[in-house]
Amino acid sequence: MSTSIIRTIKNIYSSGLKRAAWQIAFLNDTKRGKLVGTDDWGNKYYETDVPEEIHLRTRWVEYNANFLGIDISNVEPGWHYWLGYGTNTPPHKLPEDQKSVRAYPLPEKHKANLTATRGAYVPYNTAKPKFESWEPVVSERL
Amino acid sequence: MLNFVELLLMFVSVLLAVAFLTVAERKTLGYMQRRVGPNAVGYYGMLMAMADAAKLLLKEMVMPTHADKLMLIMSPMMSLMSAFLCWSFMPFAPGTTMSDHSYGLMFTLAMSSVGVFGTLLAGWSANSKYSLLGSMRSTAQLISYELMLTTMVLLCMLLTGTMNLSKYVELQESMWMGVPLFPMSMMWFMGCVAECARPPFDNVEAESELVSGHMTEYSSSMFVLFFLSEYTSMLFLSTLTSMLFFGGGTGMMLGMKANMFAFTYMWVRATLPRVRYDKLMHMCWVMFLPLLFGLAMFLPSLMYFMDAMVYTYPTM
Amino acid sequence: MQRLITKQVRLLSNSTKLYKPVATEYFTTGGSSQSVWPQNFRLPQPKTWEESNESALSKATKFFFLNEIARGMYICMEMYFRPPYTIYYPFEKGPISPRFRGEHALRRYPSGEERCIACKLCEAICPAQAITIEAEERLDGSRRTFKYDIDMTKCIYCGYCQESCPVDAIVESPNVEYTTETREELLYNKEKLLENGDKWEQELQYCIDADAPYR
Repeated sequence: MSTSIIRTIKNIYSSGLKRAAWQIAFLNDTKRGKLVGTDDWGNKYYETDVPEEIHLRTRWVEYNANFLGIDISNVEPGWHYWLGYGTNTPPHKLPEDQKSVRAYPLPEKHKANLTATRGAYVPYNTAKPKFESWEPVVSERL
Repeated sequence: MLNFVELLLMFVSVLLAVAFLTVAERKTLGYMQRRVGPNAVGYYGMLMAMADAAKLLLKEMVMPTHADKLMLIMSPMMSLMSAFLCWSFMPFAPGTTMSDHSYGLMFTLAMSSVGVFGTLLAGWSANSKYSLLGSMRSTAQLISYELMLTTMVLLCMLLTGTMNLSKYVELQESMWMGVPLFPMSMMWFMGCVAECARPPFDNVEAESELVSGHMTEYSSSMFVLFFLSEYTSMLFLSTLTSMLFFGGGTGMMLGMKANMFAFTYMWVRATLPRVRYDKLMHMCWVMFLPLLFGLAMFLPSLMYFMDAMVYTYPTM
Repeated sequence: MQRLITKQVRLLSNSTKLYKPVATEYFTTGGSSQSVWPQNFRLPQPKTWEESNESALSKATKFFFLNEIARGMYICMEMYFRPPYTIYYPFEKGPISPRFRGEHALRRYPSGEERCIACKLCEAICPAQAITIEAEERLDGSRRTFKYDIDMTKCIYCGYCQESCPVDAIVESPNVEYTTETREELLYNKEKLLENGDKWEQELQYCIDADAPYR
């Protein structure tokens, strides 16, 4: 605990009271580090190299959404990999031959996980039905 | 007699203390186990008690079909009522007691004895063999350790000569009673942990053995009452320990000492595994009680020898 | 990389040394320095009442002053002051491997053409028969599917489809955060999979770049 009280004080000192209070409300903990980049939703990605942060706590994201809109699927796919320590190169610093090439333009903001909202994915059959039923028509009695 | 508002204030502060004690316990246990406890609900998880209360109150109250409904509902109320009534004699400051009484300490002990009824009837009324087994074991444990607690309180009363809990603070100004009675204060603390049915003496709610012991058939509001009664008696016994043996001061000082003992309850929970039931009973009847009875013969004779018999003087 | 210790031969059973060698002197499991047992790991066998020369006073002191309990409590107190290991999940994530098999995606060529040529190798190899494919000639004459369903509730995420695809069309992205409220949303069809592929292409690129030398 003493590590975290001293660490909290150092974090408050370097981030300022307002930002530290925002961090406690959203991230449940204060953190200090440098901004690495921003993605299409406006989430900010940070990294730190202070010695007191334990392994796997050195990279984090501060979401651009309000409290109820925080969801891990808001993070953009390339940044998701960087956030999960898959690579040390954030997406905007990739060399050109490693950036993905797309023929079709992407939407401005990638789709987050829309389950339980109106935009949820509804499965449907992409094939034609295998049989057609006939319309029964009563023919005239002669 | 105090004003109604002051009474309410004291009562509400005890309730809040108990509520935050539940969060404190989870966070303390978490840090001792190298993890954080609840940290999302309020700032650093402090409003977890409110979240727990909201969840438990909104749950469905499941009534077993053949259970005795009246006793089912009354037993947690009895538990909680007795736990809170014990608090009425605690002096938070000179003159600040919910009820100042010459026989306060005895009433406190009587109230904790009544609390056993809650546990006993809870297991019986739920009409399930596991609850009954749990409550039988729990009742036996509680009444055995009450003997211990009563003996030790008797010895304290011998030294101080009064049953009025408010006078204990002034009487310990020269020296805490825990200094001569230090071994007894350690035994008292162990007896308190057993009386609250806390780990390492928690056979009653041994989580992996009896599902939940006497509380198996309880859900939502009734469970809240049991849960609160356990933490209330835990906090109460910590305060009583600091008051009786460690010179409980006024206001903040009493609170800090009580906090230290409540922390020790949680510290002991994180450290020790559960004690087997027969060893628990053995500890009470074969290890503690003979020692205490020996002490109960030794102390008065020592006091007589040193001409220190205070209790023959009318101090009420 | 670790230096291989070649001059020491690991014959502890018939070693003539009287003491147990220090951990770094012999081969440890996998050559790591962490899975080594410290010296004096095994506690000595506890002495019975007749052979122990502990005095009664010492035993009584341990009994009344709760020595072992106090030692255990001291350890808990030490742990109380050490930093916890918890990661704060939606803000910090645990480690991902490039080979991790998560949600499926259908990829495209850089020109925009979809890669899948309806060879049905993935449908054949799938152990859970989660993939359903139907194919027909497209208007411009190429071989393409018109139905490519993966039932994510049947899928066992083994990665065989990814391994068997000759054109690297069906892949498993490292995404696991696609939870749904209903089962129906987990029955992916071709549209959904293609859409996934477009969304996750950058991360798939990362994974494939990292893993391609080993595939």
